[in-house]
Amino acid sequence: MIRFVDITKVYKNGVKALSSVSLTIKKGEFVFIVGPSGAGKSTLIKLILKEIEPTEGRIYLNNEDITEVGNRKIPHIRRSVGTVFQDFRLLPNKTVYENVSFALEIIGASRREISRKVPAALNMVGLGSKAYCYPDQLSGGEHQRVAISRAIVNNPPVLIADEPTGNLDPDTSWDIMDVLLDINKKGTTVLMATHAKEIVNVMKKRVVAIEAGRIVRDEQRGVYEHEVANTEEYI
Amino acid sequence: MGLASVTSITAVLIILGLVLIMILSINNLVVEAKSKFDEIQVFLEDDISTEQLYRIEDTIKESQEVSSIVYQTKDQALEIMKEEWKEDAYLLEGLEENPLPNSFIVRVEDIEYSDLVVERVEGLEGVEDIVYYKDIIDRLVLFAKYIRFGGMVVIAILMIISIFIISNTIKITVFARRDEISIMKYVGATNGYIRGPFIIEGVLFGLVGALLSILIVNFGYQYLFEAVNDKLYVLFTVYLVPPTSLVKDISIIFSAMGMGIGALGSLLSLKRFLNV
Repeated sequence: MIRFVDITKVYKNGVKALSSVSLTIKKGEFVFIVGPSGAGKSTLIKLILKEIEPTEGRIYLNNEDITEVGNRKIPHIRRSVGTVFQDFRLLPNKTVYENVSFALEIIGASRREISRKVPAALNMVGLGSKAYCYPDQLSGGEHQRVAISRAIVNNPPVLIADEPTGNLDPDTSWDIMDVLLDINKKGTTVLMATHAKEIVNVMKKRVVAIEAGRIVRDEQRGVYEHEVANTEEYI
Repeated sequence: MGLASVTSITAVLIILGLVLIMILSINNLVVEAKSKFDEIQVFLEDDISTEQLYRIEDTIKESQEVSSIVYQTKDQALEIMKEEWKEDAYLLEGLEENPLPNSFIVRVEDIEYSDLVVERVEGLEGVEDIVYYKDIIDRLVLFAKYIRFGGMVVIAILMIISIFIISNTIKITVFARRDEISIMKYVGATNGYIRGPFIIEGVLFGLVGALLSILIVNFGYQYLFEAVNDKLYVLFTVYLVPPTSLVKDISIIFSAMGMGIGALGSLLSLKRFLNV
């Protein structure tokens, strides 16, 4: 599904964010990307979204080489990858329904398609009854649900979540994790960058740990970290 | 800011209109002048001998460029003058003797050849003076060239300014909607889809500007044309482009340019925001 081959990314200011990272994520997997701030998690995500280009190496998405694609193809790549951010990124002047339907409108979906898919996506995250609320009438957790709903409304094969629980309290975070798990169960590959140690440890999913631009650990049914010494280092 | 955009486009187009009218009128004048003033008048001395007269006539006739030659006596010249002066002609009655010289009126095939003919006749004995209009027409053509060049420079500068003003105006809208644009990019909107509404905005500014300037230039020029027609010689308006023949061309040119400037301005304003 997603494959990084020897990816190195050096930013223009000389910072080496990733060095020779190779990673394969299979279809239907649920993967946590963990690591301290500045380790390279965001760079990894930006590379998949084609916000930035790798300095070396190749990236494959759905068996397609997306390392060097023209600007014209980037929108099409993004349509096959749903994205959820820590800061939700909803439009405050649009209702919940409009925030979600917006993602379909811009890719030229028909009205019938929109009126069928938007309620389905809202029900999926449990917000069917709040379709006509505005974002400022919703709680933080509900904000994130709308964002997730927007990300999955056109059934992308991959969902990328960049610290989706970063702005939420623990209980709400678990609700969001339930939603993501549901989506994953329906076949969507989920890639989640996070600092939420407890969530990672309880979920027992694949964990890829990045430190200083390198993958230091990649294990199935993993945990956030092993050694106590490391814990202190991060705190 | 919308007002500034529309005003700047209107101003550019009005100046474009003025330059166009000037160039067209001068072109008209040149064409008219060329056909009217393909004459060379060779004035003869009063005490010219018959021999000299024939030599001059032969020299002129020998030139291939000459299409016709007419001998005009001083009496004929006076008659023509009386006709031209009309009611003031009585002033000429008091003349004791006719002061006008005899002359040859020479027509050349093309005004460009007049220099050649003049050169040959100039030195001959019995020739008092030669009057022809090539100098004036050359100067006119040069003048038209300057106006065309100067007009284009001014229009180019003004166009750049108005593109800049429009791009700044739209930048404000773009900036207010930058979050929306960035979200659109993340859910896979193409650049064309995002640009669409902003380009429409720019084109609308351009269209409104074009409409205003079409009205101003057409009515303004109509008024000017009539005023000149009324108060000055009819002769002069012959050279001005008639307003009716201008309306269609100006409307097409102005609309196209206005929309072009608007679209370009909005494209420029979006450049930075699309690179997500």
